Amino acid sequence: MKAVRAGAGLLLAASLAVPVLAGAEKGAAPAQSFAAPPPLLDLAALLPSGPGLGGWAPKGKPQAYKGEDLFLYIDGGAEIFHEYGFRQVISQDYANPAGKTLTLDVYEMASPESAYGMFTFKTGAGGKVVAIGRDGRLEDYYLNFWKGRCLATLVGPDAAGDSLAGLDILGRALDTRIPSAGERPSLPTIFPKMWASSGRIIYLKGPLALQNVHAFFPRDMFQFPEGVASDQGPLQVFVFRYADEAECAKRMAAVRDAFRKSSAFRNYRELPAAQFEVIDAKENAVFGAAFGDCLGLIVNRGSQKAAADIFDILRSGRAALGPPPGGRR
Amino acid sequence: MASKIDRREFLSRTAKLGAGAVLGKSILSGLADGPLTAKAAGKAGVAVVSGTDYGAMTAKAVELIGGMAAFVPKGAKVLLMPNVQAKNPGTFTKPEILRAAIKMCKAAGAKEIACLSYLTQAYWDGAGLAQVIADEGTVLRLIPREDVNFKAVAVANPSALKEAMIMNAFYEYDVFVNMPITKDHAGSKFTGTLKNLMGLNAPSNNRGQFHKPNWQTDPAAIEHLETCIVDLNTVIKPALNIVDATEIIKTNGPMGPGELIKPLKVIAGVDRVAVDAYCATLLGFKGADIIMIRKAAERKLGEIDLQKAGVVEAKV
Repeated sequence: MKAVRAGAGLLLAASLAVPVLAGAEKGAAPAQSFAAPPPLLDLAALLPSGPGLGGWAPKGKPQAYKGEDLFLYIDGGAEIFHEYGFRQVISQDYANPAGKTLTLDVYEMASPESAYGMFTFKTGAGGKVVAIGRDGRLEDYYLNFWKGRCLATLVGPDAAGDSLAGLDILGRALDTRIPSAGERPSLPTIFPKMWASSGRIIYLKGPLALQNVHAFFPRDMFQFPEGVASDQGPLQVFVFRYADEAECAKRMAAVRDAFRKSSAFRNYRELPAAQFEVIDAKENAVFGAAFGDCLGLIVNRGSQKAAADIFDILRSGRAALGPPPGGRR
Repeated sequence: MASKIDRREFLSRTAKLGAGAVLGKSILSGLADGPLTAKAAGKAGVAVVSGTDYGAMTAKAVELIGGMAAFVPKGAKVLLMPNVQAKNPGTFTKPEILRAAIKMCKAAGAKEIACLSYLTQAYWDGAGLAQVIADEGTVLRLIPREDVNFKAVAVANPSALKEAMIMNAFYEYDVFVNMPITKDHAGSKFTGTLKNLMGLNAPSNNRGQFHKPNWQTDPAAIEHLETCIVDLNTVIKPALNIVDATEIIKTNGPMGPGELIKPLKVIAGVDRVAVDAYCATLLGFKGADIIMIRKAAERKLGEIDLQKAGVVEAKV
């Protein structure tokens, strides 16, 4: 337990030493989603072909799936894509003269934030950051990046040099063909910038992704339009952002009630600064607090002080975010 | 075929292992389709074999729970169901494991060995399993996805799924061996023996009953998928489970690509809940952390307590 608390303390100290992320996207409220969806992209036109691909050439015909038919391609794994806003996918195999085959998938999602979100869900904290698309990440034998409304996944047959070179060449070729860069949602910037390298940050769009990160309740008690989660050593930090303060306050009341009444939690108690604490079945302390239109949760091993300090960081981060997104879902 | 089977001998054997563990309507017509019963006396509940020779590991794991002949009587028609969901590393049952299972079934005297699937040939080719099936002279039957190829089966005392839709062809076999790979799954955090049975259920049922319209998660029942999986497992009871836990994805399942971990183990057992509870530990969970395992234990489909189940480990 001491080691865990010490780890949390070091992490917190480091977090406090750096300002929250203040990039060009800071303060930009996410785009509203009331407008009609844009026309579907011509994904086939994005597929790399011709010379300049290091000997890699399309092998066979591409497979394409739209809307609910995604399950025909990802049997059993389509639901999470739909939660983030899936529109269509195209998959094309490529072969090189040595007979190796790699597969390139391009998913068109509902928006850049959907593509970014699915990217954060799919990718881990490991691997190597590469300058391909947005946030390109090479892990072992595969490459993921997002750009505009597109999420790209390239999978090689192994981690050998020629396979990784193929991922790089085809990834870059695809990158140049995707016209729009798109912007990340602003909410993840509520976390200190260093958290992106010290742990995983996942942008959430619904209950299934949250359930995968941490299962709080069997029902969707949070009902958030958007959220963000981060694993930071012994800590898990969650922020759910609502349309406005009133909506957040209403949801916070329901969440408090759920924690208080659920048989999966015990020892609910109110803390100073409108925080609460409850203990889960694994003896983790779960701290909660609302700040403006955001509801925050911290799961750790029981350091109330560390939780209070992290909530202070999140409040500062929220203040820098700018106006609320306003009624998105 | 049924007339060639020594029914008395077969029932004697299966009674020792749990009558409900073998389905075989053709040779077991009239047999109560009850819950799993105790493991064979003196045999491991969950056999875990480590090593790098996946075929030898598979053979050893099955030996530790009584040997394939304890499950496959001479002349039986055997259905094997490996996972072929994707071709990315760590997402499908390894060909060596399928090959070992086929060889053991042959040695036990199986009359016919087949794999059924509503996925296309490309999946089986991509996973390298089609080649094994061809090499071993066994059968791959690709079943069209239309409902006419599936049979409605009522779920007794359902929690969520009132009716399953099981492949008609499934009922042509005497013995069912469930052969998933255990791995991460975005819908349920984990997949193993329990969830693999969705591969026998009609796609329309999987789509319309296990999932909600437009593939949205029901806010009032995030656990709906897991609850349906447990209901499905009350309808189908594998004779034997052989699980690939050699090289598996820990993230971005079920399709991958994802972080590949190498437990280098093959697990075998009759008790699905115990086997899945063990496999969950390889992915960093306890059995009770996984909703479908917990719910299956609550429904008395098996033992979630690994100490009670009895885990025997070996190396080859």
